[in-house]
Amino acid sequence: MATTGSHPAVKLKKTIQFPQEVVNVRRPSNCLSQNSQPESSSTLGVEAAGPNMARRRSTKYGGGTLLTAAHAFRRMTRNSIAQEQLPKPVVKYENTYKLGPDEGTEFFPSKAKNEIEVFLEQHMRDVTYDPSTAAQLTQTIADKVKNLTKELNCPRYKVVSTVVVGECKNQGLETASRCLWDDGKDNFATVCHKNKTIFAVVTVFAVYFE
Amino acid sequence: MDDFQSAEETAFVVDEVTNIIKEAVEGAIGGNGYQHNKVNQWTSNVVEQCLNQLTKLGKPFKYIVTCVIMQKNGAGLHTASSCFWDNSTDGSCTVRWENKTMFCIVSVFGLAI
Repeated sequence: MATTGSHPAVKLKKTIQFPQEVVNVRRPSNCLSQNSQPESSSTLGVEAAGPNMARRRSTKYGGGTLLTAAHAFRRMTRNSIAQEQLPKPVVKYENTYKLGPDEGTEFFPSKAKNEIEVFLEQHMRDVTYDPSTAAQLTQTIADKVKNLTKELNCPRYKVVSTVVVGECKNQGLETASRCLWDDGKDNFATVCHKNKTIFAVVTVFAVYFE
Repeated sequence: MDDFQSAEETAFVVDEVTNIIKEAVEGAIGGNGYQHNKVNQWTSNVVEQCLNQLTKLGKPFKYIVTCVIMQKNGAGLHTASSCFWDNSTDGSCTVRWENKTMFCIVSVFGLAI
């Protein structure tokens, strides 16, 4: 079985997806796909799986779901279907065999924390809590923090930023998080900012994409 | 020979995860009123319970589970998240729960490996 190496937390399994058409494309270096829009042709060579391929595979690995999905796909392609209704092909990239980030492209929580602290200081300096604008403010902070983290030169990292904003009224509040990930490569940074009427707790998680 | 899984087994299924979260929250803080000295333990229990159940699903995902518990006293609370990921394989799920004395908001982010 070809694998990228033993994963401490989760067993790696390849996926085969029916009834979508599968297009195998060699992954460009340092590429992180944000959406699944495929390029249907590439100078490095493309191997497309059509209905015949699906039929051969379904009998080989014969699960009930695989067979019925393949039948449905063949039925679909026999009738005339408008282009928009056909399922979009899902791109499956070839293995890069990269197990960890390159030198200088790791996510450093301390750097992220500094950037976020400076940003929050600037952004929240004169802000008072207002219920009508707080929702928008929270979303803006989340987006900006995510963009800040993206600028930190860690190209193969997926970024999740969460923000909790609330009114200061002497209430109790507790936040906790747990993650199932690769401890050596993935990390997080968290910053709290408070003034008289409003508080913000920002957490950003960076997860390495193998 | 590679192992192959059908699409259903490797996608982030929001309904399944929602149920897991609801059960974890009910189990940890179900009939309790807000107690400052216990909140720490409650948040830890909720996230740990969620994570254990998610691991049992056996899907090839890295998970991030966050929980916010706030006492009800008329103050406003807003949460937001922004993610840079692959929309076709990754997903998130947020559950809001409340009783007479507190709110609980749990978010689960699943990132495919």
